[in-house]
Amino acid sequence: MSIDRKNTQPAIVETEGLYCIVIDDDLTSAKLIEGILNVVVFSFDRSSKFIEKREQLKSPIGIFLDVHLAEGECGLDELNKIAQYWPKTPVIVITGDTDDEIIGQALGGGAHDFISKPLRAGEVRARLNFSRKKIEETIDNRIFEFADIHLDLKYGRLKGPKGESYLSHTDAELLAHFISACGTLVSKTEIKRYIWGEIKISDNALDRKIFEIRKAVREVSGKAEIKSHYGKGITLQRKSHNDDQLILADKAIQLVSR
Amino acid sequence: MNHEDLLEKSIVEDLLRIEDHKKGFFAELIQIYEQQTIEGLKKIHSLVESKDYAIQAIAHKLKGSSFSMGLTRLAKLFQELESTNKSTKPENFVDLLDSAKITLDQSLNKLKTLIPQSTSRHNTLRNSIDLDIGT
Repeated sequence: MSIDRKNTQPAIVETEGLYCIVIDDDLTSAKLIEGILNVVVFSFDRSSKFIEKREQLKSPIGIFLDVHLAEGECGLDELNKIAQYWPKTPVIVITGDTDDEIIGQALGGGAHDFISKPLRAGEVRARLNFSRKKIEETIDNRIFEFADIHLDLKYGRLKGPKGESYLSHTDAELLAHFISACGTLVSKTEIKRYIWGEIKISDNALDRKIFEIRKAVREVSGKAEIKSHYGKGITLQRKSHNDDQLILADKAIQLVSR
Repeated sequence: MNHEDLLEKSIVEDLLRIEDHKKGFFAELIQIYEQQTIEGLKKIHSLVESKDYAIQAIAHKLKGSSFSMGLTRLAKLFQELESTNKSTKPENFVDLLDSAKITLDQSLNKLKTLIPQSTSRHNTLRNSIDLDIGT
């Protein structure tokens, strides 16, 4: 009997409820994780294939990413990008290597944790649960900084040199998402899915939200601005071109305790 | 033949525990593993002459899956294959591959005896149906 990855995994439309993503060219990993966690698993043999399909997926409970993938791809190459897709989803790197350097690269590259083969049931569950708990604990205490603005996600407090204002939880999450994008374009489709998930939101409603956030940023900041790119999406950027050079220096930082 | 180190008991027990809440899991897992490993061994065999780097990559994958299946002895053979390089003599590759094939057979036979009976019958039936379709 032929095991065909395309036929053994569920269709994307069926990924309702709890599900995991496994990016590994070893088919037994996906099957094992499916059995261990007792959830639907959507598997890819390369990270490039996952990235292609990512827009069609909603947030999984976890992503398991192997280091050595099909066609010579290295899971660590796209790790940082993958870890930013769904901030509440832990990315756990799977490795068959005992090399400390690879583990260091994985954690430094944005992985929440790592797991070595053999995949043991207790360890897979524990690593995933622990990572999810850690994210939940820190997400409410998150501080985001960009240019001269400072956003406290827990309280929705936005501060800058010109003053401070308070945002609704959704507006604060939206602004945090823009900050995490580090100056890159965020499409409206992505914003809707990230903030509202399956709930249908009109473009007008989203535009109103962006208007409110833009106004709040303008009131407190002299350096940051939210810019709409017609038909493409939104960016949070520095006003001055020279300041744009500093964008890479801006990072969303997490403070575990305040 | 000493079967002591063919299987890592605690890992296989873990896998069988999953079967308790997911009937048919163990047999399906073995089937996926078996197909993947046979394909991998064939690929390695075809690459021996060229000593292509892909040999190490395939051996690495098979090592990981074999460890996860609790097949310790086989995993160690794949580990040896993974450590080969351009200077490895072709006869050493052949010896390692032969040992891997024999150990794979032994390991799978052993694993298959552990498939819960109801699942085993179901699987045998399904295989025979697939074979009928395939011919």
